[in-house]
Amino acid sequence: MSRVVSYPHLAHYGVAFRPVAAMLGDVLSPPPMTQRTLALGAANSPEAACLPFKLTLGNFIESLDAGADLLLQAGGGCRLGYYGEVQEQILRDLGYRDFELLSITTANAGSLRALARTFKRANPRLTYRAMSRAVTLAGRKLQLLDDALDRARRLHVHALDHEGFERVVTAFVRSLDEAEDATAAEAVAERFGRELAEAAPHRAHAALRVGVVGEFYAAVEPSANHGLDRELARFGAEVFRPVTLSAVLDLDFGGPSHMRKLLDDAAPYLRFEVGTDGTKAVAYANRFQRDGFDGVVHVRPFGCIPEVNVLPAMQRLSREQAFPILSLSLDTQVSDVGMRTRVEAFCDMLRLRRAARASG
Amino acid sequence: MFHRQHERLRVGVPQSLLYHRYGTLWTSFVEGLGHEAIVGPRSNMSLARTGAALAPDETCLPFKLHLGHVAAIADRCDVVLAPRIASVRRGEENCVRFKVAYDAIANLLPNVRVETYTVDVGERVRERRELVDLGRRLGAGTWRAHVSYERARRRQRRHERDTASVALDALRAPGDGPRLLLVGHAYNVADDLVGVPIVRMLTAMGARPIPADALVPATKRGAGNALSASVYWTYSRELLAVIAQFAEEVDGIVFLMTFPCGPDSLVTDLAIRRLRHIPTLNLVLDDLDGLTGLQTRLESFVDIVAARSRAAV
Repeated sequence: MSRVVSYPHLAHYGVAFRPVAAMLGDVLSPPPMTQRTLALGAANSPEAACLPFKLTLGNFIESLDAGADLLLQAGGGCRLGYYGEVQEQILRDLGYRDFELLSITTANAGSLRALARTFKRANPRLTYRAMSRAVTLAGRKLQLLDDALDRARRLHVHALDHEGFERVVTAFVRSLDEAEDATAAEAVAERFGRELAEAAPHRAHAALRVGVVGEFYAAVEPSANHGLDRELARFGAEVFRPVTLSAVLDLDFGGPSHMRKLLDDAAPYLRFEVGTDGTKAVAYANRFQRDGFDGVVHVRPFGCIPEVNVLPAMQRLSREQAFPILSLSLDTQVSDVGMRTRVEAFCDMLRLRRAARASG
Repeated sequence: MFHRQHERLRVGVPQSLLYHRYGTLWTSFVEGLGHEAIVGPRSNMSLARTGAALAPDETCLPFKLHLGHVAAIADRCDVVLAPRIASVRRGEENCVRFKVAYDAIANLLPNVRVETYTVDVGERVRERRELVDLGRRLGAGTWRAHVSYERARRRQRRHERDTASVALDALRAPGDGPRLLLVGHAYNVADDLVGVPIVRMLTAMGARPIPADALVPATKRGAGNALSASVYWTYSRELLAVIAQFAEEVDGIVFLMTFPCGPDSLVTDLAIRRLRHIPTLNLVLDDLDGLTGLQTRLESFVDIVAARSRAAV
């Protein structure tokens, strides 16, 4: 009997996860992220676990209830690589018996060959040919998705009508998800490019330019950050968010030269690598500062060690360069309204600074 | 002879964080180079307040204390030692907190001269090479740095063996009172504001607390796999190995964790879920003023453990 495979929500990246999950069985998209997801995750997690742990655990519970029996988890770097074993035990203690949790970490997927072996163990009937086709398609879709949404985040502020713009984006993601091969996916992305230009013609009004940096999950998952990208756009900012899944994979496979470049960019605020996404956060923020951006939003889950590690560097960067950095710590208590208010106040402040500069 | 003359420096070694693990290595190495090792004071409230004021809010308690320790000795030395111990074993890591040891001080206490070295076995950055380089940066010749390192390493090993045998004796000494394994990072258990008051309270209640971290050299590596197969933090693996190996010889286990600890937040939860046959107590400390509130929790735990072992007899 074929297995039912599911994975946690991660922004729109289901588009890239689906072809991979499909190698292992029938795909069950995780049920939509709701207050219930968060409540289930929080109630069953260790108190001091970080927000991504709680939300992904909530996803797993809802996926199991919907009939999944193979759960995919991934991670490495901080405590993320250890999620799998702990979440599996929690789920078993909750009474779920007939499932497997496959955690893709540096221990079993440090190289492409190791990754292939891991997939093969999970589904012995899988051929290398099918695997290579699925992974290639997932990779292509991922690249198209990240490139297209990167552009969308910059253009959103120029949208003639925000709801209409968001509908175009949603439709694009759905079509990309449904595309059966690379050619079809590329056509979808090309069409989206044209639609974007119509929905949000670049106007010469002086939009703010704001960078978003920080911990990966917190930066990309809208239910964790309460639609940070969208709120920034609605309050008048072109959003530049270099934190994407493509960027994470580039760095993981990029080797030491990538890290040296990041440390060059982070100088003089960091001299050494500080773990997971922390080094990137300082490097990107410093790059935005040098490129004349209006400000940066630094997001992290509450207690995220790599991101707390860089707070002193961020604070010094902000102080010495008089560069606005909004630091957001996300936990289960943050609300949509709380987020909106903070983003609104930040954008207002950035506009006042611009006006003061123009007149001063 | 072999020794080039160089300026004698006062090298500050704060008595916090991994001092409780590698302190002998560090002081012996510094002295071998011909410098003076200035070991800082033990934790006290004034230093704790300084650290808490310096650190960003979500910093863990031991790192806040550490910053206070650095600030407390900075005036008395020419340079402060702030090692980055990222990974000490192949395929394993330490908490990423230790990676920021240098940069946190450089950013928060810009007037302090800091020297560092990195151990990151996963990235092939090894202790010997890094400490010899550090020795040379501090003015010693290569030969002398090597000799100092070798001697420091031997002393460190001997110190660990001695501590382990003291702990083993304590564990196996005859006598009444429930034996409690106190499981926590060395820098928490040995800290005057964190673990020491708890040990004192437990002792006053008639229990016999045994620090798990001291037993590490007496355990087999991998013994903790039964408690968690995939945990990759070295210090957590070691503590789990101690639990797996010595749980039979104690009456209860007290987990001591400081907030917010990334590794412990998950490891402790999993361990308690899997340790069903022995009483456990999970203490989470997030600030230092509330220690007296622990008195009642400790008392009732000691009572339960004592009643349980009487029933077993």
